Amino acid sequence: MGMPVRVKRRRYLKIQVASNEIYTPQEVDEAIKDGVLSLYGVHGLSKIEPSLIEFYEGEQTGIVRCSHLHLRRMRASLAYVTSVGGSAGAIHILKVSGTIKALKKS
Amino acid sequence: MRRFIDLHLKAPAGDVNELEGMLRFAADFGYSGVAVTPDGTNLRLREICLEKGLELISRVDLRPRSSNELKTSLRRVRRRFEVVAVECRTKTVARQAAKDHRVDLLGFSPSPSIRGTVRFDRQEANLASGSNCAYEVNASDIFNLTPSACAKLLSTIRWEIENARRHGVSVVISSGADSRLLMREPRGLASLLDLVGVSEEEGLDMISTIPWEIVESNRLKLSPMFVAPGVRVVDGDAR
Repeated sequence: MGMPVRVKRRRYLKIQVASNEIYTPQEVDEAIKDGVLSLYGVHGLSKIEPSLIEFYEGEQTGIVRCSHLHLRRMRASLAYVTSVGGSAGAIHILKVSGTIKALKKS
Repeated sequence: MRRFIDLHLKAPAGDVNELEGMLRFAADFGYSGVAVTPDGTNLRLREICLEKGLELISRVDLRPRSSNELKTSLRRVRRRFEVVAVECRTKTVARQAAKDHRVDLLGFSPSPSIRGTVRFDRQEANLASGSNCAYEVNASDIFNLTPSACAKLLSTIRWEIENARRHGVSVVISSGADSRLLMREPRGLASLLDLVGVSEEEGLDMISTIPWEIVESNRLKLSPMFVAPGVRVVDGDAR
């Protein structure tokens, strides 16, 4: 019998929020989902499945999870974000990995 | 490994610190080169780029009102800058720019009223293919637009890229950023092209190999060894 295969494969993105302000995880999560909604709509949001799973307010860095099939769309949506929590901000991707462990190691 | 290049950073007027920050951001994002307008020849910026391992490329943006003004400007700037871009605001300027060999990049206004009449249409693409001009997409143009304006602009860009493809015209994507917050990592910029029907590999070429080819060919032309296309001095002492 072969190895069990996970039904859903994910990609984990280490992100950094660039702005003069300090944001809460809720504001960042909302900005990410707004970015996906603006570009790909509700259908895209359901396919890409973005989720902010960790966010460190001190460093303004975090980890976003998405479907591995839609990584490019996730990148485009994050690139499209120009405001976070009502003020000018941008979300940059620092690294992408298939596991959280590998992302945290770097 | 790909060497990424952002061919369009706009120096914020009178704010050298912001520009320095932008160059540091570009290095952190993994760019190998950046073209800055209009301060690409500034010595202090060259030092920062050297320190960060970035190649600084000098670029000029021309916004002529007539084809004669374009020709005069090109005579003046062609030998001084590595990249010459023209923002086409009238049809006559667009046609002249597309057929002039001294122009490297053709850009169009993000304003829907101007883009409605002056855009990279079939005739423009045909002229550009004969003169080796590339068509430039600035990512900053699509930011901060209302959803309907953004959708309209994306539709125009998709059509323009299709025209460029049909006529074998190179397409380049740049950030067009004038602040750190408008800068994006190279793969992020390339991913935005997903919205206009460009594949991942093709998008990455538009921010790496294609712009480097333009810069390298112009550097060769600007070198003292260049004589004419296909002819250069290989050994100056040989008699």
